[in-house]
Parts: sequence; C-alpha cells; structure tokens
Amino acid sequence: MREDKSFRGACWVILILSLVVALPAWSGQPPFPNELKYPNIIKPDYQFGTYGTKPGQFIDPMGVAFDTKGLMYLVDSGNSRVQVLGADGTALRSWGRNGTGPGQFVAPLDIAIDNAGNLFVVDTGNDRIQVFGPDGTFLRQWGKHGSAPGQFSNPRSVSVGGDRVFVADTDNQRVQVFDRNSRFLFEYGSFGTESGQFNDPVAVTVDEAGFSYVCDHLNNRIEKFDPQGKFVDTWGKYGSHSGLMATPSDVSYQGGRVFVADLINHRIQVFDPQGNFLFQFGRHPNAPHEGNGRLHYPHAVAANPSGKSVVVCEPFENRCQVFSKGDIQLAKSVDDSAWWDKATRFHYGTTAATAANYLCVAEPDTHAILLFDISQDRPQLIRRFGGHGDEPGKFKSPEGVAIDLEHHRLFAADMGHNRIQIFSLEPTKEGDYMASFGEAGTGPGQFHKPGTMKLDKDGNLYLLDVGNSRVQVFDKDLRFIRAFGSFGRGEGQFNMPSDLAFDRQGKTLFVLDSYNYRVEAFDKDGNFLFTWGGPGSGNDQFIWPYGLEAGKDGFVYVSDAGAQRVQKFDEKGRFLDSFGSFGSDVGQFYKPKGIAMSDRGILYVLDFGNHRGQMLDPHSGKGRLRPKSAGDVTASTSGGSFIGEWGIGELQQMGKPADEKPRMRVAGLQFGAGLAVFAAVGLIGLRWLRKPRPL
Amino acid sequence: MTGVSPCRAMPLAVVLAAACTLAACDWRSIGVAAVGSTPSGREASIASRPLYLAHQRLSSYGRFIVLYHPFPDPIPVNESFDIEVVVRDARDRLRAVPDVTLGINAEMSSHSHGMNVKPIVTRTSPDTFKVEGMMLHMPGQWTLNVDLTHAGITERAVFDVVLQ
Repeated sequence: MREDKSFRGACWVILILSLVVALPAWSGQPPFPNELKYPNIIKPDYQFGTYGTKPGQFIDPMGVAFDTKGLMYLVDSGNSRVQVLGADGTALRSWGRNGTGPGQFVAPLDIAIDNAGNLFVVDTGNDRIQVFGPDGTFLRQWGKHGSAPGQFSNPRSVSVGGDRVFVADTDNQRVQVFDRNSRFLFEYGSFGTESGQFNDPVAVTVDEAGFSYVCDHLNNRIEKFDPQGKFVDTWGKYGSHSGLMATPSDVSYQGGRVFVADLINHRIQVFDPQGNFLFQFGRHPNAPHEGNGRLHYPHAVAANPSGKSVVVCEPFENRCQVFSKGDIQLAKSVDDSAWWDKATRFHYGTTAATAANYLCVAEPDTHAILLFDISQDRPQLIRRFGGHGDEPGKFKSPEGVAIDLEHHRLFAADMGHNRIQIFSLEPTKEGDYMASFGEAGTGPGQFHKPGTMKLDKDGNLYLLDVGNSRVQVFDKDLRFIRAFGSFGRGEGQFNMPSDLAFDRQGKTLFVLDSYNYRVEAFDKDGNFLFTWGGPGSGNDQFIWPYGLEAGKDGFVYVSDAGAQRVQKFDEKGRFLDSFGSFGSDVGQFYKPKGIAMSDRGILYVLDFGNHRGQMLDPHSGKGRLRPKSAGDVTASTSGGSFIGEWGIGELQQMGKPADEKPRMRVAGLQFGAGLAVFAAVGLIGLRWLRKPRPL
Repeated sequence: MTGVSPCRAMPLAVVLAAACTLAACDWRSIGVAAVGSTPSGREASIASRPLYLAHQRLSSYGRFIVLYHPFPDPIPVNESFDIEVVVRDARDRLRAVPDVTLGINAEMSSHSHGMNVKPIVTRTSPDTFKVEGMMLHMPGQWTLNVDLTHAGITERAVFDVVLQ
C-alpha cells in the first residue's frame, strides 16, 4: 500500500515535470530569442496574421487603431477591407471590397476612431475619407482628387482629436483639419525642409490638448503644431542612433507618449510630447520572417487607450505584434548603429533596368543605386552610386533607373529631391557623378516624385512623373520635349503609375497604372492606344501591380507585389501565362517588385520580401506548376523556369548570428526532452493501470 | 664667327617653344582681359600667381572650365580661408556664363564628414565667384566640390586638396 502511494506520487511528479518541460515547446509560438546582446528586443504578448485573403489573413496591413473596448480595427490594404480583431488577435468581422462606391476601397492606408466609436478610413486610392459606424455601416464620405481645401492627393493618414479630424494630405504636402461634419477648418504645411514644412507628411496624430504631431517621412523627423496649426517644435534627423530616424512611417500619441514607427531602422521609438527620447524597441530580424520582437519594416503603431498594450503592424510580413506597455517600458536605450552600416547592400528595392551586360537596381533603403555585371552566370556587383544626402550625387529614396549605353551614363530618379541624377558608367578620377536636373513643381522639367524611366531608340528619356500623374519626355541633351497624362481613371489618365517600357519595335509605350490596376498603351507622342487589366487575383487582373518590362522578346511582363506573381502578356495585352506564388522557395516570390529582361532573354525579378533577386527563363515553362485556381492567390506553384538567384548569400553573411543555431538547438532539445518524459510517464501510467489492485 | 650653331640653337628653341606653350595654356591670364573685368585687388593677385593645372577642371557634364585659388595659399589647417572660383564656358574658354550659379562644399571621404561651416558665395564679376568662410578642420585628403547649375542642370567640378 505504501509502495503504491509512493509510486503514484512519483508518477505525479514526473507528469508535472514533463508538462513544465514540454508545454513551452508545444505552445505553437516559435521559441523566443534569448537576446541578451540586444535588450531592445522585447517579447511580444502575441503576434497574428499571415499572407492571404481569409479572415485573420492580410495583404499589407497598413493602418491600425484601438477602440475603447480594446478591439483592433485594421486596414487590410491589399484586400481592400477593414478587419476587426479581438484583443487576442482573433478575427471577428470585416467589410469592404475593391471599388470606388461607398464602402469600397482602393489602397486604404489608415484608420482612426472617435469617441463615439465611429471609424474614419483614409481611402487613399480614391482620395477621400469614408466614415463608418462602429458596426461598419457606411455613414458618409468626403474629398476628391485635387489641391483645393477639402480635396486630397494621395492622403495617407487620419486622426481624430476632440471635435476635429486631421488628415495628412501627403502629396499636397499639408495637413488639413476638418470638423466632425467634414467641414474644412484650416490647413498647415508646405513642401520644404524648413520648420513647419514637409517632404511627405505620411502620418498625423493628436494629443488631448489638440497639439498635432506629423511624421515628416523624407525629412526624417517629427513636427509638432499647436491647435491652430502653428509650428511649435521638431525633432529627429537622418540616422540610426536613439532619437534619429530613417524614413519614419507613422506617429501615434497615447497617454503622454509619442510612438514613432521608424521604418528603415526597423524599430519603434518613444518620445515624450516635448520630443525627448524615452526608449526604443525592435530590431531588424536575423532569420527570414522571424517576428517575436524582431520588427521588419514596422509601418504602423497604435497604443491601446487602456494603456496596457501597443500594436505594431508590419505590412512587409503581413503580420502585427502586440506588446505589453509594461514590457516595452523596461527596454533599455540601445544606442548602436542601425543595420545598414553592417549590411552594405542586398535590400534590393523597387526598380531594375538592363542594358548589354549591365543590370542596375535601385535600393531606396540605403539610398543607393547598385550596378551589376550580368555577363556571368550570377550578377556581380561592380559599382555603387549615391548614399543618403542632399548634395549632388546623393539620394533621398532613389526610385527609377535607366542605362544610356551610347553616352556611357546612368540615369537615376532621386524621388525625395525631385530630381534626376546622372552618373558615369565608367569611373573617373573625379568620381561618378555627372549632372542632375529637375526640381519640385508641376511645370516642364519639374517633378513630383519622379519614378521609373526608359530610353527610346532615339535616346529620348521617357520619365514617369508619378505625383503629377504624367510622363515627361526629354531629348538626349536633357531638353524638355513634351508631357502627357493627367490624374484620373479615364483613357490616358493615371493614378499612381509605377513603371513603363517600350515594345520591341520601340513604337508603343506601356505604362503600368497601379491604383487603376491596369496597363495603358501609348504611341511615342503620348496618344492613348489601348488598355488592359483590372482589380483582382484572376488572370489579367492585379492586386498591387508594381513592375513592368517589355521590348526584348516581344512580350510584356508585369510583377504583382500583392498577388506574388509575374504575369506574361503579348504586346496587344492578351494574357499568356502566370508564374510564381507566395513563398521563399525558388520560383516563389515575396512582394516581387522591379523587373527587367536582359538581352539574353533572362528575366530578373527583384524578390523584395525575400531580399534577393531571381533569374527566370520565362519561355521554358519546364516543370512549372500552375495555380490551383485562377482566384487562389496562395496557390502553390514551383516556378520551374527558375535559373538562379543572387543576394541570398550576402544576406546570410549580413545577418545569421552565431547564437542562432544554439538557440534552435535549445528549442529542439527542449521539445525532445519534453516528448521523452511524456512518453515515459505514459508507459509508467499504463503499467500502473494494468497492475492488479488489492480489493 | 660668333653666331650660334644650329645644333646648339635647337635645344634653346625647344625650351622657348615649351615656355610659350605653357604660357598659352594659362588661359586664366588671357580670360580675365577677354571678359573685360578689371583685375584689381585679389583678381590681380590671382592673375599674377603661378597657376597649376591641379587648380583647373572640366566639370562633370563637360559644360564648364573651373579654376580656383585659395587665400591664403597654401590652405591652412583649421583656420578660415577664402576661395576665388572662375567659371568659363568649356567650348569657348574666353566666355563667361552669365546665368550659372555656384555651390561649394568640401568633404573628407575617408572620414565620412564634411566641413563644420557653411561658406558664403558671392559673384564678383561675370566669371568670378568669391567664397568666404571656408574651413578644413583637420589635415589629410579633402575633396573640394564645386557645384554649378545652369539651365536647370547641375554639374560638379572636383578638386583634391591635401593638407599637411
């Protein structure tokens, strides 16, 4: 009897021990990194979200807000909807779809909630604000494209403070203030670098006293204004140390704290309302899609009014992480260099261009242009141009590139400075920089966010002037020839055009019209010819069309950063093929962006989210699996025409720390030990049950 | 016969020819007179000084010839100095370019920094700019960047400066 009691006691002890050991391993969350080296990596309470279209899945969650009950309202931009999530991240309901009618969205980017629980959504692609009741019922809307009071151009943020609604009217370089009934009250801000001016105000927030804080994206700072819109103070400049910023993307006030999503530093910084740095948390991941306190392009931040938690959304990872306010306040100030000093390159950016044996890639994260030699099997980096700065030869967020072999020069669009810079393809003693032209404005030779460009067969430069919704044409001596296009949805009009290319004959110019989800074709004089495309995930449809290439092999290729694929068309716009799917394997994509074809017919795709470039043979189709269904954006394909990739090795060199493997090993041992102990307990228990018991 | 033999005269002729060629290369001394500005004060000082090819550059886009001279010369370390910059049309070196504007900075690329001061640029004649308040605060290899904007295009002339 005594022996039986002690046996049972031993079993209980083993059972409890096994649960203690095994449960953390089975909890479902990946093991939390033991980051003793980086005390600014704080363990989140939980994280949620994956890529997809189902409830709780996202395609670019761009904006988030808490209501007073702790529910989260999340702008699921790529799915053109608002999702409501419980305090634990569980998807509760959603509304919205792509379109221009009431309750429909085109690239919505932010959301705010007033005291009554009404929701204000920035419907960016439609240049309007939509207002919904707490249950998602459409109430009203205001705004249309333009620069007059009450009109918007690419508005990116909304905030409600008391009876006022603040809208960051980004491309108009101002903040507009309205009353609750959508009546325009006043505006403040203009383009520039002086106090009270902006270079892309992408976010605004309001404190209890009516002071507003504006995230001045390309000036790398926060500006504070009084309730009348008068400039009060500013803090921040470009850099990686505490209090400095790298293209911040959001600002959110809550309870005496100003939270800043410091996008390219991959962290959240927290200030007091006077701009004094308090603490920071988050750091660039080491392993792909790591999470768990590592932040990857944190785009939006919001604090729960209860003061208990902070949510950080990472559209790049289609994920949000929720942190306890108590935990993040324990974060120590970490004042070291940001990732770009350690990783010299390989955050391939948005655009690519080829000519002969050159491949050129813009890398906005490092404000640089990379030039590769593609005469070998694998692109070899041979030159790097630029770096962050204001002077000639430096960049603020470079975008488009074009190679002019005849004049041995390279064009690069310096978006943040509204200029085009020219570099020598052949290094000289005096440096690479040759010249620059352009300034901010709407006239000939003036730009508003210059983007991609192409040379025609006569050497004329066709340049996408994105913010002005037009194409500008210059001759080889940089003299303005003409412009065509305007803002709108009609034929020959644009809404956020993102790329362009000539057909094989050099007579037809294709322009990718991103927010209108279509490709438009023009003749060389800018006369509209025809169009194709539409919103959606089927063939001939786009979710986030980004890159376009044509001309080399007689086909047109369009990358879709929202649908994770490349579509192939003939030069009349007829759909031919689609390849790629969501993932990190060969032939799969994670937000494919820039796309260019070499003279040898190799398609170079900047697989932005995987931090690599991929080389594809778009003609072989060998071994390729097609999507399971036309509408299934998560369908599995293998991309059998994959030739190679580059950039991955360098990424590992950059990031894979020595402590990564031991950490994984510890997790494995923990799991194995738990399993063994549990099995032992099971066997002993079974034996005990089978044992004859005394009556 | 007291005359010079042809064999002996040849080296002398070569030296004289070389001297004449070098003098002709000194376009600055020709240019000042050509644009009609009166050399006075510092300009006279520039014109009277020996000019080195290191102080002349074709700008990066090829539209201008740029020449500079510091005051004092050589440039002192961590002390304020001035510069005069002369800008001419590269295709017609006698011609000033009326609408050109000038910006200037210096950087030490090996140390990833520039100057700690912001110099003031004023135009003193059709082809001459005065830059006041330059300061290179440590010895070593500096780069002087002269940025020239004309007809909406900005280009650069780069000069190496080594401070002992």
